[in-house]
Parts: sequence; structure tokens; C-alpha cells
Amino acid sequence: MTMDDIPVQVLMGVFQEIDIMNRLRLARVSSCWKDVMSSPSLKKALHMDFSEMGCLNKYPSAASTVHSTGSRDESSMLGLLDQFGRCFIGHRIQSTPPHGSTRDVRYSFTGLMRFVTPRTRVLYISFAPYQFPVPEVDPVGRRYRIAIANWKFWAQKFTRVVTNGLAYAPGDSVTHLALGNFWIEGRPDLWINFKYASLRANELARDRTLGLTRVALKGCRFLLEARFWANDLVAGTLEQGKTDLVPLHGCVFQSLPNSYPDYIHVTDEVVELYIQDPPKTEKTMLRIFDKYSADLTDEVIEHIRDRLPDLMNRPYLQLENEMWTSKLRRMEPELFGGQSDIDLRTVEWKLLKKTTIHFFLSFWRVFRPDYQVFVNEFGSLVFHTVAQERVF
Amino acid sequence: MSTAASSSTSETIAEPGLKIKVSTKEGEVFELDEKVAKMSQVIRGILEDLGEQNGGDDSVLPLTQVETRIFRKILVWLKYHAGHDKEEAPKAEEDEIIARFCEEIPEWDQKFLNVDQAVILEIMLAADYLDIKKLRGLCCKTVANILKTKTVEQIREMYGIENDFTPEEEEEIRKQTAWCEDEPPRQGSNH
Repeated sequence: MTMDDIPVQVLMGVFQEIDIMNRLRLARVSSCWKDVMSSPSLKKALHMDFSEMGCLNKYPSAASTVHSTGSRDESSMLGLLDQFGRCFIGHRIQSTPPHGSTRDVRYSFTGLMRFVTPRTRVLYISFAPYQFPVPEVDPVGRRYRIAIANWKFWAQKFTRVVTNGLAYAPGDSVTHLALGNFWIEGRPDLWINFKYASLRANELARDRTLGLTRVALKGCRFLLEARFWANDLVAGTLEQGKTDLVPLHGCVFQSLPNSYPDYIHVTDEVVELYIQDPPKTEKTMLRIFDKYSADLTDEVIEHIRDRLPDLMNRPYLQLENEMWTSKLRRMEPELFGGQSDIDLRTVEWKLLKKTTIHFFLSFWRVFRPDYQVFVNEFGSLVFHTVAQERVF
Repeated sequence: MSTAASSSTSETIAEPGLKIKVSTKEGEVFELDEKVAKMSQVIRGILEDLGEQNGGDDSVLPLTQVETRIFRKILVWLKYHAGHDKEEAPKAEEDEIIARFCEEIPEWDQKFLNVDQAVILEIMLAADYLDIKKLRGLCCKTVANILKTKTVEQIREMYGIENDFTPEEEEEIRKQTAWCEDEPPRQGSNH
């Protein structure tokens, strides 16, 4: 038995499992393999592996590809993925010794993106798990923090580029997207981006809808800090471009205890997001967050128990109180589902899910008792600390 | 096949029920539990065509393309998975592809397929003939994983594939794919 005995349709099954880079490389084995590799039906599902993105010369230039993918009009995914590549590459070049210029990398990346065609239904984008400069058991180390900061920047860009780009891709093109070893800015961020992208696409062309129906995430990390913001607050209100992110509406993104890792790393399961079924997606994400989140210490529980009753007495926090109790009903239906009035002072915090506790911890006022909040003469909320004053 | 893979199968056979007889290319007859047999869509189809009432008689389904030594291996796989796999609703093709992309080959299956590469190809071919999608997919992924680690020349030698390109054609392809070859690419080859 040799490979020559394998029928073409079985051979295609093998090649389907191979990423684009290796498909191109193996096209040189024989004319039969070259023909099979060039088959349009093989473009239905593409795996792009960027594990060696740092090695520029490992990637094809826009002009050096063996397989033609048709006209530019047929591959409007290119723009999306090119943008993604720029963001990704931009990060890699900043955080690792550069192997070439950004321009070179973009050129190579564009070449690889040419393989996405209107035939492409399934797209799997992956790269090797990021190796931290320090062991993950020491998540508060300085170098770890720098690495995290770099990845945060990139991860956020990535979700926006991919989701917005998909909205402008042919409506019936990619329906299934899988991401391997990516860093995601929390479930809501991803979801909101997809939803926003879908709305934009529909605004622009009534007869076109977002083709994407399912996203699978393998080995991804989910940023804890941004988990809940889009769920309860208005998406897009987070200010960017500053040394630290500015919290709005009382939600804070950088105040989890230092002993906690910034990300939840879901290692051993594939997380599936059903774009057209948000409740199912939310349920899935809450389940995995609860499963993989770090355990909460007694000190944290005690802090919340002491802090919230104090906040409840402040009249300007009435809206927050309503939101918090509403969130308790939603996240803990077994405990609070039927209760019309919930007194936060009587909640048994230890009984709650980790995700519920994290939700409360993500509020500035809950976790930063040293901050005082006032309403100034212009009606703005003012945060005061000993060292700093900010007006929102 | 590993000992681990074969030893755990005896306790996982489906509950006794209807027995299905099949014969291999050499004419050897095997008796399979219905659940095990129906993991092959080909056998399932034949049974449905015949009507299930005939399944318990002495009729033997001929599997003329499958050698006995390969069928024995496939039987081990079928019995193990009949006992361990959960019933799943049929998936859309795209969902199946996503699952294959994202999921690693389970440890048991890795051991099962840790055999000579010619044997993997034979199992893959038989799985295709019998229409056992999951086994076929596992074989494809295993072969793909092997291919990814080999150079073009190693693959030709390993599988006895003739290089049928003319020197000019090969040079042209080599130029086009220089950036992804195993040897360090020339500086600026991507321009």
C-alpha cells in the first residue's frame, strides 16, 4: 500500500487537515498532489497557522503563491485579515526581536491571505501558545505584566478587526470561525463586536447578512477585567490610548487583586459561541469562567461583604444598586430568581459563583474603597483620591 | 496496535442483541453486534435495504475490499468506540470540520494508530470504503500530522511516490514555494 493507491477524495481528506503553509510546500511532491492541493473544494476549509509569524521568510509574498484565488472582488476577506495581520505583526515586532521590517511582514501576510476565497466556509486561525518570559505561577512578575500588556493591546485589536471585517465579507462566505490559542477580551467583547458588525453590515446592504454563525475557541485566554462591561454597560465607552484604561459608569478594569491572573486560560475544552443564540453563548461562557477562574480568598469575600452595605447607603449609587441586584437575580437564579427585593447586606457571598463575585469586584467603588465619589456643580461624577483627581 | 488500545475493548462491547455477519476479502466471517456493525454507514445502509428482520439469519454481508488483518483492527476500534462514544446528533459538515480542526486526537486513538504507516493508509482506505467517518477523519489527521513533519523528498521516499515533474516544472515550483521549504530561505525571497 502506497500513497498512489489512495483515491483522490481520501487524499483530499488528508490535505484538508493540513494548514495552508504546508499545503503549498507539499504541492511539490508530485503533479497529482499539486492538482489535488489546487482543487477549489479544498478551499472550503482553511487552516492558517501563524505559529512562526516571527520568521518572515516562512510566509509567501502576495505575488509568489502557487494557487490563484481569482479576482480581488472574490476575496474581500483579504482586507479583514490583512488588518488583523498588521495588528498581530505590530505586536510581535514590538515584543520580540524583529526578523525584518513591518512592511515585509505585511507583504508576506497578504500573500497568505490570498487563499481565502468565497468558497471558504470554515476558517481556522491559530498560532503556538504564547510562552511567557516567567512561569505562570508568578503572574505578578514585572515581565509577565509587560507581556500581558502587549497581548491586551493586540487581543482587543484582533477581535475588532476580525468581527468588523467579517461583516464586510461576502455574506455567504465564512460561516464558521475557529481561533486557536488566542487572547480574547472577554466573552461580551467578542459577542458585542460580532453583533455590532452584523448590524453595520445590514445597515449598509439590506440584502446582506452576516454569514458567521459559529465561533469556536480553542486554548484561548479570556481577559477577566473586561468580562462584564459590554453586558451591562454601553459598548464602546471604554476610553483607549492612555496609560491606563478609564472606567466609566463605575466599572473598573484593572482592580482585580494582584494575586489573581489577568486571564482565564481555558486549556482543555473548545468553547463554542453560537452567534445567533446569545443566551446559549452566555451560559457557556459563565460555565467555563466558573470552572477555570482562580479561587477567591476569604479576604476578598470579607471585603465585598463589608463594602457593599456601605455603598448601599449612598443615594447617588441607587442605579448601581438596582443593577447589582438585577445581576444577582440573573446570575444566581437558584438563590435570587424569585426575589423582588434583594438586600445586599444579607447576601451570603460565599455561596455565590466565582463569576458573580468577579462581577462585583469589577466595580471601582466596590474594590477601591479609598476612592470617594462626588457630584460636582456641573453634574459630573468626580472621583477623588489622596493622590489623584479625575473628572468623568 | 498497542496493548492498551486492544486490552480495553473486551469490556466495552455493546450489549448483546442482533448479530450481523460480515465476510472479508479472504472470506473470513465475523459476527458483530448490531450497534458495532451500524457504525459503518455502508453496513447500516445494506441492513436497511435488506430490512432488519433479515439481519439475524445466516446471510453474510460481503466486505470485498477489506482484508482480514485490517478488518480485525477496525473491529477493535469499532468495539471501543461503540462502548465509549456518546450518541451525537448528526453534525453539519462545517461543524465536523471545526471539530476536527480544534480537537486533538484522543489518547486511545493515538495509540491505536501508532502503527506502520502503510497500515494506517490501509485502515484509512477501509474506513473510507466502510464509510466510518470518524475513523477516516482520525486516520487523515494522523497522516497529515506525519506529512507536516517531513520534507518533500522524505515523503516521496516514505510513500514511494514518483517525482513526475520535469526538471523545469520542478524548478518553477521550487521557486514559487521557496519561502516555505525546509531549508532556510534566501534573504528577500518573499519579494
